[in-house]
Amino acid sequence: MNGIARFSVGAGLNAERALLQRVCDGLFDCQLLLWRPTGQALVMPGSFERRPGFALASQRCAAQGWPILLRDTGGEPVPQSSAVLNIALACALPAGDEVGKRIDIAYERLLEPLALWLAENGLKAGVGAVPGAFCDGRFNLTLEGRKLAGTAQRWRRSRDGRPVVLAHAALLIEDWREPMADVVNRFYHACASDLRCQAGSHLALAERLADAWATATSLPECYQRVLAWQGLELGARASTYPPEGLAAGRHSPLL
Amino acid sequence: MSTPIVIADDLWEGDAEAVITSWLVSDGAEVAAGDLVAEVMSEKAQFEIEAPAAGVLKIIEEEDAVIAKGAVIGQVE
Repeated sequence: MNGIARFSVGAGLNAERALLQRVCDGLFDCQLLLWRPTGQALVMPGSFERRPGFALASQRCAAQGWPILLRDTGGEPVPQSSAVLNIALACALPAGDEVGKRIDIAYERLLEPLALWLAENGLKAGVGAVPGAFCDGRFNLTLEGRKLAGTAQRWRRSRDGRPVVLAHAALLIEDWREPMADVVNRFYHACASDLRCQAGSHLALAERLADAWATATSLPECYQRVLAWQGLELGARASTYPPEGLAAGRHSPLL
Repeated sequence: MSTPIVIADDLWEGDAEAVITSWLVSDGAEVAAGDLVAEVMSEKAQFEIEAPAAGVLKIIEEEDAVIAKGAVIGQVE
């Protein structure tokens, strides 16, 4: 067991929904899921169904081997395949934690362990928008100014009223940049959208790190370690986070 | 007597705008207090909006509308 589950894309999306539900139900305060798709799909927010041309675009993408699936987090279309490592972190926050419930802090909580893990492997990551990247946003994880991982979130409330966030990162491990940019551009074209993305705006980890998949098996331990610094215990049932003196929103030294 | 559905000031940080990504309940439908009625997105983060009271939902801002914090997107009558 290396801590990375294998799912079809649809099953992986459902596993993330179940992860968020478990935390909302109060079964855990914080849980992590790492999964790698066994197939491929073009994944986008449910609101895209309303776009003109969606049905046609959906048919065309499916005919090219990229069925469209809908996700519960925000953003733009993202290709998912066996080249991608998905990292989903669900956390319930204390009712009075004004800092911890900020969007930027939730992204930092997700990305800091990734950045440390990359640093331990000799790579210096950054965070920021990357013009030309698919599903661009201010909280991409970048390497050499190119997009390595995209991020998104979904916020809900737990049964006892606490804010709960599912933060998600899609980390490109293998170099599928060209076919991925191509399918996103085909989708936009079929929807009569002027948006376009470029493969060169992305970077796959395997282009800079040998044995990237094998190295990724140490990621769960890195998450456990970094989240523990913040008073978060993965899989813990208790709701004592953050302990006195530990600020969930402390500024990351890495990002 | 109607109760506005307001986008709370503390739903996200900063002054970034958001988009109503979906209404989960139709205009004119009966809702209970705490029912999920809409979803909004800011910075690729999706938030759920709950009905503040029981009654009949009246949608003021349609799907895909760009909204700021404090916006009244609907009301419960």
